[in-house]
Amino acid sequence: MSILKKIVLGIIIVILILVVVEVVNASKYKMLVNVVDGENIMGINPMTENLDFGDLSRNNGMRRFITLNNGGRFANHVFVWKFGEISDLVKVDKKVFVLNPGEEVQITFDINIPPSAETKKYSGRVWIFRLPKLF
Amino acid sequence: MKKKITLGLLAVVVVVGGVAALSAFEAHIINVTATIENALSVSPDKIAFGTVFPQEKLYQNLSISLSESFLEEDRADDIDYVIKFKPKVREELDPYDEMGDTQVTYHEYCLRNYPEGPYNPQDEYWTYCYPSLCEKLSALADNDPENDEGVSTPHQAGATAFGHLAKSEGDMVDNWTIDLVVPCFEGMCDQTYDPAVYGPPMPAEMEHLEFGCDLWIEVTGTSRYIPLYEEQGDQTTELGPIRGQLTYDAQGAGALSGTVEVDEGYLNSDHDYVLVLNGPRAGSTADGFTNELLASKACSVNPVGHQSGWDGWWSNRQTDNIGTTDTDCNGLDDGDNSPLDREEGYYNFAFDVTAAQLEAGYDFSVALTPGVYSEVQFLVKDLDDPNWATVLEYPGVGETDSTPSTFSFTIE
Repeated sequence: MSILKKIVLGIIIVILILVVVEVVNASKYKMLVNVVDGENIMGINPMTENLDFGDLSRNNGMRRFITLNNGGRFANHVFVWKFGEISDLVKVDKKVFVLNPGEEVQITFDINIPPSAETKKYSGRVWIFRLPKLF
Repeated sequence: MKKKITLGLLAVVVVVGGVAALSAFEAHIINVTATIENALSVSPDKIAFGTVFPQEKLYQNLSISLSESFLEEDRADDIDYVIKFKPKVREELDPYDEMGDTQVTYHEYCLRNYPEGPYNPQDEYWTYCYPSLCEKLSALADNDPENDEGVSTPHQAGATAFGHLAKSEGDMVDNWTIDLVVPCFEGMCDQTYDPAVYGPPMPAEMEHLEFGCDLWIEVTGTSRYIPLYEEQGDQTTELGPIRGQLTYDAQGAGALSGTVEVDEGYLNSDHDYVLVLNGPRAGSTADGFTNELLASKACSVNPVGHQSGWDGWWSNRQTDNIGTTDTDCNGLDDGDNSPLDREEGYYNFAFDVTAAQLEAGYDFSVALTPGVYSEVQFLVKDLDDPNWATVLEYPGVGETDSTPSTFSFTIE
């Protein structure tokens, strides 16, 4: 293996390790909603283990919040990434921002159940990455 | 070949070790916490009353219930919520879009800028928001059971209805009646018009306009419970059988409130007990986090003496449970006067609680500094034991429980 190949391989491994570290350290939450039949039915679940939007009939909406608090000495870039079947129904108000030391920011997650939604449980995940702001 | 396998294994060890070390380092450096709030709001589907006429009364239904997932949750019991009436954004606009280059959403704009004084059709506000229907709407409780408080018409802007749902009371659904009373327009009211029923007449210029109001359901509190296990000794991570439970309000205003109930006959009827809140051993020690919140509050209450009333002290016990303490709350280890680093916030409160009180269900409310308290350990200690032996516990981080530590709460 040439030196160049070894260097490239080394860089790739370092990048992979950094990616894995960020994934490990990200805050990860399950998002779920149970779309039910009927009109104006709102079953609520305010528990804080998951981003649970409860039971909602079509055309209803719900808003939940995640609070981020920077207790460290460094500013951080924050990236919010949602994925899964539910993600098309959920709107996030802040996806990329900087969180300064001592600062607290609330991220809002709005879900709206469209008339075309099927009667079933939709789920997905949201991962919140935090990267130290270097410059 | 053997060399390649060794090298490969070495590489795997280096990568895994590197990931673990870097993760720990980054978690230490970054120190950013994320917490899901238990407060939430629900915006119901459009309740359309259509074209209405003065002195009409119209009714619609609104059902608010505990969700399927909440009913399956075995450590939560009840929910308190409010129904608020808020000015409505015009239907053609997305309430959560920002207005032009401002960082203000249409929803926020309509909420904050409702015009005072006589109706002026030229006001820019009406371009984005409906004239308010809120004062003409009521939310009437189903009174089954009688634990909700409705709002009847006519009422002032900002009126709020209160609702309560509880598994333990068999109250899973609240069926609200939303009713609309239609006032007349100035100069067009008949002689039988009663402002006490329909509200004051509206300006004649508002005739034929479309009115609107947003109903918002906001959860304000959740009562949860955790099992209390028989303590198996400080050096073990195993838990004993469940001997009681702690029910608490997950979101308190200035205080943590709840009830501790212990199985009859488990405690020594001749002894008195103390209740303890204990921060996570592996938690952050920075200002504003659980350990610091508990430690600072404990010291602010009464730094010395632990005999009666509300009292506290804090320690920096290490993970091996060989702890140092700071009974005079001067920030120094009592043993060698070295600075403490708040490894573990520790707050003793509710002293001299009798076994009989705990068996009957002991209600407590302990004032705490506002903040988010995560993965708190709860202990019941025996005051008449020379070592204040722990007799009941809800485990913190590092001990075994079938579910993640859920004793977390917010003080506002």
